[in-house]
Amino acid sequence: MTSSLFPQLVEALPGALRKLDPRELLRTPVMLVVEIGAVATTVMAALDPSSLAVLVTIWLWLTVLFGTLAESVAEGRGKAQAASLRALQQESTARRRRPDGSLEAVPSTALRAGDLVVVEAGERIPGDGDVVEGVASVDESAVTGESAPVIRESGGDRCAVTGGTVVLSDQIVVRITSEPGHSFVDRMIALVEGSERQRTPNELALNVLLTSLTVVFVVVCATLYPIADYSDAHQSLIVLTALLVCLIPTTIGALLSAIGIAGMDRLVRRNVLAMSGRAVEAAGDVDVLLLDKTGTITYGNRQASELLALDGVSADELAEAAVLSSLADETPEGRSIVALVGTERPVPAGAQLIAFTATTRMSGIDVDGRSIRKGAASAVAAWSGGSLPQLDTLVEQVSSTGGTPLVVAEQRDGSTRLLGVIHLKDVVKEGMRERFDELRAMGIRTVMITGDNAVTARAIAAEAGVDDFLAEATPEDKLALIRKEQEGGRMVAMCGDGTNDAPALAQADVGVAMNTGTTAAKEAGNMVDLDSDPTKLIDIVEIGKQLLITRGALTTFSVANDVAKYFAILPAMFVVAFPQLDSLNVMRLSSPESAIVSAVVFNALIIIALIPLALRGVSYQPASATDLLRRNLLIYGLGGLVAPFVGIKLLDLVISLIPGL
Amino acid sequence: MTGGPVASQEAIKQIGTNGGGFYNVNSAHPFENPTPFTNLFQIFLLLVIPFAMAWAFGLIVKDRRQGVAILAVMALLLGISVALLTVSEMAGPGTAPAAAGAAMEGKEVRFGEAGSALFAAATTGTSTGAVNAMHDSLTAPGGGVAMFNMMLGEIAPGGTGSGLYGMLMLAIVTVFLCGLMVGRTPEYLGKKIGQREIILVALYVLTTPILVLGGAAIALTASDGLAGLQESGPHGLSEAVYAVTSAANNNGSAFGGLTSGTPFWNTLLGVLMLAGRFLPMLFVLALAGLFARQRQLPPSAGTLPTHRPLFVALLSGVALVVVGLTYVPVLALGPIVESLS
Repeated sequence: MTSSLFPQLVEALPGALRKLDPRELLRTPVMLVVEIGAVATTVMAALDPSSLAVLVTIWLWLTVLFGTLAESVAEGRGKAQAASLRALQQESTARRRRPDGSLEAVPSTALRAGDLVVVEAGERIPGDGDVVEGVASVDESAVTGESAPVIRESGGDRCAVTGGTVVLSDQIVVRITSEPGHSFVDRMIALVEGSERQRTPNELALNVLLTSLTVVFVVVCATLYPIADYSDAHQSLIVLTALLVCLIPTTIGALLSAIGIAGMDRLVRRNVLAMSGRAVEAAGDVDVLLLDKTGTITYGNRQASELLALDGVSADELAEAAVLSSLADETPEGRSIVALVGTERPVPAGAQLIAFTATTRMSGIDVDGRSIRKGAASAVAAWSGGSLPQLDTLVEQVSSTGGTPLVVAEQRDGSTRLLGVIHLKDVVKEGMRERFDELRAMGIRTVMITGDNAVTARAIAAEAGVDDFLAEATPEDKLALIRKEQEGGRMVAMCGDGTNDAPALAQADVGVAMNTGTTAAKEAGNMVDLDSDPTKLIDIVEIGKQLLITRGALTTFSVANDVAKYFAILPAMFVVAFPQLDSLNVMRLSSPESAIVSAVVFNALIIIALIPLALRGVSYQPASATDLLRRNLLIYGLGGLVAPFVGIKLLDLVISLIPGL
Repeated sequence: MTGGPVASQEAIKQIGTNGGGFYNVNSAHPFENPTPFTNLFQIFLLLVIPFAMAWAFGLIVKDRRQGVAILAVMALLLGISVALLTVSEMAGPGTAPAAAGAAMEGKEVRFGEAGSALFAAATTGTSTGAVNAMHDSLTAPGGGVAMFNMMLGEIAPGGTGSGLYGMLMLAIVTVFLCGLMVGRTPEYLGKKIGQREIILVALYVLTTPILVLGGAAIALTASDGLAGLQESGPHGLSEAVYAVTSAANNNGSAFGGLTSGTPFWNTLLGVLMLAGRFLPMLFVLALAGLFARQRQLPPSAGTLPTHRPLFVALLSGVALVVVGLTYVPVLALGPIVESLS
């Protein structure tokens, strides 16, 4: 990233220069003070030029510029994405259906919420809306980056379409749901460009603290003028301004908004759109994560995990029967049985396949006078005309662990024989247990939401390692659970896609709607995942935390820097009047002037040096608060104490070569 | 010699961290503080309530560990200042002490350097301000430490009540600055520190430095202010800065060389005392109101623990760096220059 930073900086320069407008800087009082200082030293340098005055003036201006540059670079990264989104907004002609059913051509910009438009294959959908008639495959790659077309159909949870996407086949009727200028793409553009950026609560609070530190140091420097005069150690305004700029927290002040923009940008890069920065921050604070079982924690379909043969039946015999009965079974369950046994083979000639029906609740095969069936225990019992105590035990055993038992039986020459049980179970995705362990270490509880009964839910919950589960959950249960957690002071994150998820999404502190979901869900949540990947909720929490950690780390670094700057500047200021203060010049800086310039230059350069970190965010490893604090304190606290001693000394070695210093 | 209810006054003076003595020379007077034992007992009395406040805090928030952590920070900072003061006084730099063999000027022989240093650290670490030695005669680094104790906001362990709230305000600053590094909105004892809360904390943190530094600047510029100084140069500066620091922090001890009985000094110090005591209280109470309205959040593994040794170190560090750094320039021109000469 560092290698590609330079062109980004150059590109961002015009924007950065525009941001030097004091009205723009009002938002960051720290940098405003630096600019006022720069104006003051410019006047003084013009009236009474000296190497010190000129150098300090130049570097003060650079300090302000580096700050606006950081913000400008962060914003620039969203610009390219915004440009490609704008292309989607080119005006097109839509065919609006009149109440009488006839069609009229209107410009897409004239569409209002509630209008019905007809869109055919090859046409661009003129605005956000819900499909009310028909089904079509739609290319949404321009919005989601996913090239495979998706199916959109009227009714149900797959009815939402986004303006600017292209219908690939068939014809649909769409009811427009957004007013012009307020579409999903409009919001996306505003978000990625940062133009709608509202500062988040924590950012505002941090700004207050930084401002108060700035005021303290303005008081320190302003009162130092008469106090130094009393001590017969008169200080020029240039030197006092230099001291002021070095002491106020310019590093974090300059990078604060860049950190916020970059945090949003990191989400956008993972195809998540946060409707507000507040939501991103809230993600860092989440205490409880509600995750749907199906598709998030498990693969979402049952798979055969083992074959349990009855006494007197060999394992091979059961395996063979299981495979034979599943050869024609194209359901994921059927294929998983073949995969488990591992013998792929063609359907025997002359075999008659028996498909699963809701009435028989069995499937199987009839071949060479032999009938094999597999199915629910009760159905097979009815077919075979009996059961065995051992079979009942096996069925019970599978059910009690949350699995689904499939009984296999065969009929040959009129006699029926029970063979055994196939254990089907919900398979937990790989790595989920580890992720939940990480979340627990971060202090986040995960609750699995499932429509399964309590027995199944408990078994899966134990296997996946979630902290709790909500079985046989209805949308109302979900909402009630969120409310209960929130009443306990906990913040809740969840994701959902259906219209019936909307109330819960709206209630949750962080509600991530799937892009495949309904318009209602997308509007209720405060984030939309364009990839529609519920697991991403975990990433979102990590990005939220990373954002806050980056802010904290750079603040600590900035404040810790002051110690070294005092050691550089104070002896330099007063060593003429009080030679004994030279013993405080622990860095052995070459001259008072060089020391002051070195500190100012360090103060400016550290901003540029930290831009990549501000944009990337500090590296985040899920861990407990204590471990995170210890680690970050070591790097940014101790680093902040030590780095300027080294940096200022090195700069002094160079700067002392400048004549006049 | 006038007598009176000295003993009862002593109890009030010390246990209430009030500091006003029965006699002009305060606890240096043999009727107020006759023996090394009474000296230690007086120090015990002036420290007992402020330290007990930290313990009480732990009981109030129903988590003793929180109180112990606050107590540990107080004890750590007081320990450091006692050590520095004692070393300074025992070493006794300067010509006069070298000639005399010890820095005994302005001290009572019955307490010695150590007994005087301990008293000085305790009285400036609290808002007591009683003295058993003349602080103006402390060695330069020793006087600097006494001054710095007050500049920290008298938090180690501070006045009765004011020491606790001063330390808690710094704890909130610490949580806010460092708490972000655990990736959550900062919270202290389950209360979130948002913008409105931090505005009040900021106002609190701003008040005393503005009063002290502003007061010092006025005193060292105005001719009436300069007229009160006994010495010129760095020690004169120390006298003035000590006076405004002591007033703004409601300590009451003084570098006696300063003639403060003039309209200028009386007015200046009076205003500083008034503003320095009541403005911070106003902000603390407002903040308490805001916190009281908040729902208390349950702690989790993701919350910054505020009872561990790491937090004790952090809070001490924040006190020294965030508050201490404010006064470094003025200390550099006073006690630091004096110490280095």
